[in-house]
Amino acid sequence: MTDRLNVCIIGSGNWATTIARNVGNNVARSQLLEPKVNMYVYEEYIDGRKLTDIINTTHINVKYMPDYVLPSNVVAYDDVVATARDADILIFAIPPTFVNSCCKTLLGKVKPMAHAVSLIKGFEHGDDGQIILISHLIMRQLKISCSVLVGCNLAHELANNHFAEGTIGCRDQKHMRILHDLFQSETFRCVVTDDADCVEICSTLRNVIAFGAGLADGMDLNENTKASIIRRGFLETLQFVDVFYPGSRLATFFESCGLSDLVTSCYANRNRKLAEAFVKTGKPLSELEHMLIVGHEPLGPITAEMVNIMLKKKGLEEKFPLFTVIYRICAGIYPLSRLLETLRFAREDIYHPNHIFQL
Amino acid sequence: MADKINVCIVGSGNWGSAIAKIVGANASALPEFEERVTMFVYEEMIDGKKLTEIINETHENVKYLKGHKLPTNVIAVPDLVEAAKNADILIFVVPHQFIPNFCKQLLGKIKPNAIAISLIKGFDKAEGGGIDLISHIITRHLKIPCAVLMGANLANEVAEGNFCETTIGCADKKYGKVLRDLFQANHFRVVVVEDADAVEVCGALKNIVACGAGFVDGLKLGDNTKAAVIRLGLMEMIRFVDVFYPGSKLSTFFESCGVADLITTCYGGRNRRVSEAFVTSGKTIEELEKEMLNGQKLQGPPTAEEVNYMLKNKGLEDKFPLFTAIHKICTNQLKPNDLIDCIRNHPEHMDTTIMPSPKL
Repeated sequence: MTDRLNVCIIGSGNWATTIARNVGNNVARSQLLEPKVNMYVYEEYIDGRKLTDIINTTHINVKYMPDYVLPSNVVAYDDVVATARDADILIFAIPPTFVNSCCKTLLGKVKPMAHAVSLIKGFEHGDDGQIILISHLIMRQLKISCSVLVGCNLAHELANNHFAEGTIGCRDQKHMRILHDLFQSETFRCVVTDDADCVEICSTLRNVIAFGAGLADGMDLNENTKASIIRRGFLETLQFVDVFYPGSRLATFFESCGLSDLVTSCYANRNRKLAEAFVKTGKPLSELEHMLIVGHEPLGPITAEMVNIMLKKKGLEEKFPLFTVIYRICAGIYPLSRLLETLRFAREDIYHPNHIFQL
Repeated sequence: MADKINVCIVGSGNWGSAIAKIVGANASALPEFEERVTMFVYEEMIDGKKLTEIINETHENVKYLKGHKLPTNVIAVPDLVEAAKNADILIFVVPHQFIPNFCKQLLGKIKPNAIAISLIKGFDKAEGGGIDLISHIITRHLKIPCAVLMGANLANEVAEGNFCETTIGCADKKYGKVLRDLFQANHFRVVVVEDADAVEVCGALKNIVACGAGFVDGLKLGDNTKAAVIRLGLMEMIRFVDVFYPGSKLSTFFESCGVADLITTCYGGRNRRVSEAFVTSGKTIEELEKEMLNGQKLQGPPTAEEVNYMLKNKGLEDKFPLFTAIHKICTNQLKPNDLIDCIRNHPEHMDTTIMPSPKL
């Protein structure tokens, strides 16, 4: 086959830049991929120079990752259509709020058989109050299929070559191998599954659970209590996927998108800090939200609200006691003390992955 | 059955005393149990007074759980056979090395239809090598069924009445309810599963993973790496149970004894703490045990050794790269720095074809 696949990256924030290093290095070595990678950079002036010019001459993204050098085959463009026009694989790594407008610009300008991969954390609000997954939004807008890469929520750790794992939820059988080889590096190990919805929703729901873990930290509850919040959150995630994205696999929750991301979030994530500050300072959430960089990480309270809307619609609030209590605490409906009470009385038999999976 | 159920607690350490608070309260509140709960206490002299007498008069175990009142219906008994002879439920909560000896003393002296439940974390070395589960030892010696109780529980937090969850593994369904009633409290949530072996093995294997998490902390590799080690550790735990205790259920790992206990141990436990110091100080594990734990033994390294023995026997070392690497680091066959190289090509990462696994 002489036709090599063309890869482009849409976005130039720190996660996009970090992954551009892996992608740039991997395409250079590949027999199947075009060695040049286009990267769409939102044009800005840094000390009077265009950011794209700086990246293309120094190979350093001075704005977002000033300490790291990009491979020289990653080429910055300031025009998204020019970036993506010839691409067979489009990697999206932009803030979720830009997805809509970006797709509108690209519609009809990309190859009809192109495949998208979303690295975007977060979700879009549907008209009916439901969560719309970003990959669904891209598929709907661009009329091409879209996979997701989730995991490793701390970009600088990956950039420093600290060992980490990622999960690829791939919607197209024939792209599995290629996506795996595109993102993987010696320090970033990828596992591919076909369970794309589950992979993506896990990474959204964990922000709610991290917020709950932060509430426990703020109240100075002990480690064991926090562990039971994490555990119950994990079970409710399973149950949520079972109800709203049926047909997913249990094994997916054991991938890094499930368990590891949840653990990292509950100990290190900004939602956890936000919740802790919410309890300790007694200030309303609206005054504290600047702690999270808006557009980068979905807010636990907003996610909790969306989840609650979905649950309410199906009359399932009681079956998700943890998600429900976190939402109600955020909304000021319940006092903090209800968190513990909920754990205490939450029924154990409501759901169990017990519909018997023999090992 | 008109006869009330007699309960005996074998052991009076920190965990034994904490659980006596719950068990004692339940025995006096619930009609099916005999109110009087006996507790075997290893007799010691404290300031010239017998410990059993102090407990029976002041209802405080001044040696092991100071500052907490035991229910008055918990009666300290210095003689093991005396404490246990009428019991229908025997709760074992003593250091694991005492178990074979205790069982010998009890053999033939207890009710033949009594049941046991082990709260003992750890395991014994099987003859010739490998892990021998404490509940198996008890069943073998006493010829009675033995359940287990494990979970993310720290004795002092339980005694304080802080909320936590726990898992009872009880192979025989018919004892599940009575055991749950005996241990359940407002702040102590019990879930009963039938998968007793998996519950108990989780309690041992998590300490190996915690050593790995401690090495990562010592190497300052960050939260993503630590999460990856915890996840790979869980995957190896599941695989280990699948190979050596077949027939277990995946759902058991979702219980408190599985993920929850693993996570707390990897963030808070002493295996983690000492392993971190092992990397940063360059001292041996033995030296650190002396310095940091007053000479008490860590459970992670010996567990890793026995597990390694079992894996080697089956030629499975390379299928368990994390467990294997941790054992080799503890025994100085590898440097802590080598940990990541060992798990870079984990079997979990090599499989790019999709494993058919059950759908939800």
